[in-house]
Amino acid sequence: MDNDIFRGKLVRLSAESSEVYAEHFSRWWHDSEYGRLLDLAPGHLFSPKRTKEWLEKELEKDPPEMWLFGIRALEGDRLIGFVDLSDATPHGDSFVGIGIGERECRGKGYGTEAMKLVLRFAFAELGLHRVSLNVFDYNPRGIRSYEKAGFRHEGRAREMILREGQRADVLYMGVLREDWLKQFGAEYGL
Amino acid sequence: MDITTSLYTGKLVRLTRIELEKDPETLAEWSQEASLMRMLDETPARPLAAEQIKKRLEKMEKEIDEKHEMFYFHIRPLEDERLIGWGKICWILWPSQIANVELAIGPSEQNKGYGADAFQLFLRLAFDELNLNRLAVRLPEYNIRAIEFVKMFGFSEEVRRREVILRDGRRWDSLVFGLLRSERSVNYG
Repeated sequence: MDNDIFRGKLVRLSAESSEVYAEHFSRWWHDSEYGRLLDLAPGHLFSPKRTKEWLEKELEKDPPEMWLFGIRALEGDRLIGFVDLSDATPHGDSFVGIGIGERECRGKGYGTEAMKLVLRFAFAELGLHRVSLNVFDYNPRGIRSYEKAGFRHEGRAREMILREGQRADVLYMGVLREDWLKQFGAEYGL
Repeated sequence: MDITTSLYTGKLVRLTRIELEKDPETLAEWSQEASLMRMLDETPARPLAAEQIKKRLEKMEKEIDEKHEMFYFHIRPLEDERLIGWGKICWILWPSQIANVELAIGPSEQNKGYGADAFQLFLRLAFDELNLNRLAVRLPEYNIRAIEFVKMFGFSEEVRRREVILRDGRRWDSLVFGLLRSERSVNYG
């Protein structure tokens, strides 16, 4: 049994204090491209104080409603993003959200590896049946990354977004435990 | 511009407000009807007492007021005050001009044309008053009647989320249907 499930070759999934999360989230949301890749709704630039209050409540919940991890690059042990599983159903489905906040850390495989780690957590530790995500069609880097992590396309909700005068679609992707085991089981000794 | 044709009155039904004193009784009866509740979505069916339902309705009215992202109605026939169903336009995202629509007709009130009449009112409200560009409906793959129903109004299947629902010992897909403003007049009045 390989128990080192939170550490990859480039990144590790970390626990952070609400204060550290709040400072980073607040700064990352000031990058409007980050917000437009993450959320359908326009971003609010909340103060770290406001974010901290919300997070404190969220992180106190036991069992958690949201499994939130920091993403730390092993080199320098620097906090570069977050990944979370939320909206879990009694049917074993959960939505994953991920963001690499530090611009210079995008496109280097950190996100893909963090996603692989969180899927391993979802299937090997939480025992989920599937993991879902939404990605916007103007985010090809995200789409490619999720495909690499094992997600399959499940459809396209048309014209969900209106930004810069143009409508864009939202893609639904999902990965089933069965398919994930076939693709990555051997890598993890499962 | 015709602003005299009512947004809330159809040929058979009316969209009305919640009657907090009377409606919870009827909704409590429906919550016992797993045959209705299991058709709606993956939320586990659960009998609720009238008192619990009343609290939920009160909470929802507060949310509607604070968040401005939902319109919720109780559906009654033209001729009397009885509750025959409920429906809502929810998850409205104003900058995107999108929302979801949900509709449920009480078990003893089905097959009378109430659902189709109410749904027309919801589409009119969504497109002619709220100025939305897109409506979506989520349905379990086993709700064949509802799938046929939304297709009749021009909705098309866009997403098939595999094995999201676990019921009766097997897995079922959850579907998303979409209707764009430009497709609206397809196949109905």
